[in-house]
Amino acid sequence: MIDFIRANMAPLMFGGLVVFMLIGYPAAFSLSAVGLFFGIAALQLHLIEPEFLGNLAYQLYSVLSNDLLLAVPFFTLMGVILERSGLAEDLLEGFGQLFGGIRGGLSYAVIFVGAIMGAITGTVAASVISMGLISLPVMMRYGYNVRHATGVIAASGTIAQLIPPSLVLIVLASQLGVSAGAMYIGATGASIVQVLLFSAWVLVLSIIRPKHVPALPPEARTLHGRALALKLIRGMVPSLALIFVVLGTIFLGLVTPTEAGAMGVVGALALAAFNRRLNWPMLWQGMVATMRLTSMVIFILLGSRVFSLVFQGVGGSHWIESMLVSLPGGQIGFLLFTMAFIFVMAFFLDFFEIAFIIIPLLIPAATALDIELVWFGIMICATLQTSFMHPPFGFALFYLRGITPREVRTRDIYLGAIPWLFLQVALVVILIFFPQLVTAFLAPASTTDLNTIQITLPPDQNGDLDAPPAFDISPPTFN
Amino acid sequence: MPLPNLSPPPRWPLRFTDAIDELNRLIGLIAIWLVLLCTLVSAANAIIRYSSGALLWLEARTGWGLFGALSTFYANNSNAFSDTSWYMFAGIVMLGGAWTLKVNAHVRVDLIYGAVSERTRTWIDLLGGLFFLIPLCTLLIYFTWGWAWTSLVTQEASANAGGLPQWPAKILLPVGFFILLLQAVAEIIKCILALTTKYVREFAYEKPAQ
Repeated sequence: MIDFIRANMAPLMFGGLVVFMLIGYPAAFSLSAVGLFFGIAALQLHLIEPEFLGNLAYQLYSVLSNDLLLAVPFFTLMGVILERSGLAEDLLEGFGQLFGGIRGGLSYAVIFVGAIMGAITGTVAASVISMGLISLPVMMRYGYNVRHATGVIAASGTIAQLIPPSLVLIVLASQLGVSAGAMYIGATGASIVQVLLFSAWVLVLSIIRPKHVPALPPEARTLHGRALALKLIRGMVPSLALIFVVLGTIFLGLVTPTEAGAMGVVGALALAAFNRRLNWPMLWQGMVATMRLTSMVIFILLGSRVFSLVFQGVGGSHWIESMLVSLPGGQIGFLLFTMAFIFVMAFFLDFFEIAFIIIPLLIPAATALDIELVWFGIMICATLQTSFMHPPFGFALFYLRGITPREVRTRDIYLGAIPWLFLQVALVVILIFFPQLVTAFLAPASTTDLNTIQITLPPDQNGDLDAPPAFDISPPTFN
Repeated sequence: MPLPNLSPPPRWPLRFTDAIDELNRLIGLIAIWLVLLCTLVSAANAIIRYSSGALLWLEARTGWGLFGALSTFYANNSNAFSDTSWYMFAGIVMLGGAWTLKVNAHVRVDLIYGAVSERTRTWIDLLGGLFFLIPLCTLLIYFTWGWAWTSLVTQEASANAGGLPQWPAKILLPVGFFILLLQAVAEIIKCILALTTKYVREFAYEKPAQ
């Protein structure tokens, strides 16, 4: 019995985690409790040394002193402020009026504004809520199909996850050990493809189901000429300024993503003040929400550090790696399997739980299979955004349910999400088969083969000290 | 289903849990203020760093000495500033953890939890508190306390030149787990009261917003 436990400590520990997580006690505490319980058991069985658990303090401290994770409160606070700053309203009204005359015009406006909002803040809540409050009533009034309207709003809000500078990308970068800047650059191509996919679907709908996405009648398009241009400028100028402050400064290499987040908060405050929406209750609520979310998220990470320290101590990462590497199909097989796995897991687990519990288990196998980690990260991000969309637990659908009028049935919101879910899955498949979409923009890795570097040593002078040794100072040859 | 013959909750355990709630509310207020402070310090840090050229230019134009002094002050203390911002981040997490537990905002896998009755949920929280949270807080205080104390008495310096001493950040770990332990005890008492008396727990679990 003892021998069985000793030999199968890692699988037992993993099973224990699944059982205890399922009970429903907060994930952060279940993780660390399972970790510590098995840590003590492993200590008794002499699987790990007593000093091993002493590393815990350093492991926990490294979470708190992680500069990337410092971005979590910044981007959260920025999202909360922007949600109430009135930015999305100007944008949506402007683009709605501009595109309204064509079939599906309001849908294009929602997709486009969703992408802009995504490029300013990475939070789904801000996008979905503001677009749902502004666009949905207009779409319903002019006869858009309810399922299509709710679906396009939820989906366009969700792409905030994939479009830099999203929090999800930062957290994934910190988990994968790649730079957040590289993740941002890699995600750009994928986000463009996603926006094109969504727009293409609206175009298809406007041909096969024109009644679902009617053009606005002329009397609904009240803004013309200068008034319309002013409205668009009012929405676009602050957006572009904020996009520059946050994304531009990162891409120019001026600031780290963390600092950009902090500056983005200041920019969002300025914008809210400009729109006369800045007041103390709003800011205070934002601070409270940010504190709760930050504490909750980082506590999960602390818990998962406790768990994974012990899990690695009992050989867990080798166990997972050997299982995953032996999957048929090599790289593609591994990717298809892990993405399907994450897709299914996302039904039960929160994004942060997946990022902190599942992804560290996958990294050794991905490295062993020689998978570019940025590419892998973007695919994970694209897969994870589906978790915001799939019924019945998707957050985007919750938010939408919270703000839609009674006559929109929950069933409609769920069914409306399904075509967009397929479009998101299509993006993942496209990314698997066309890695260039991610990697083409990244700086190529150094291709110097360390084995072929030759360093020419000075010739042996046989101890003859009459002359200084003759060094060959020509540069070494790199083949 | 509340049983008909439940008595009202006794006074003294409630006084005890109220005291812990109030303590952690005050500590939580510090964490909330740290969110704003941390943001402003980080933003100021980034802005001043990339406007040092502008500061020097202003100094050359005005000759007041003010901008030059600001630039020098920043150059000598920039690592202290960047240390400050993540110390505050550590404060948000560790000081806010207990309050987050009090308002029931730690995320759960609510596949089962969301489907069962309030009474079963109370049982899950009671047993989880007794067998998960209290042992883990105790163990983690044990693992981090001596380590943080050593850092304090040896005045361990920052890893960055000119940065702050490390103990304020390190000490946050045992302190955070200690207030979490206090809150865990309070929550367990509330669970027992909810199971045996008319007491109703204040915060229902909702999935957190993202």
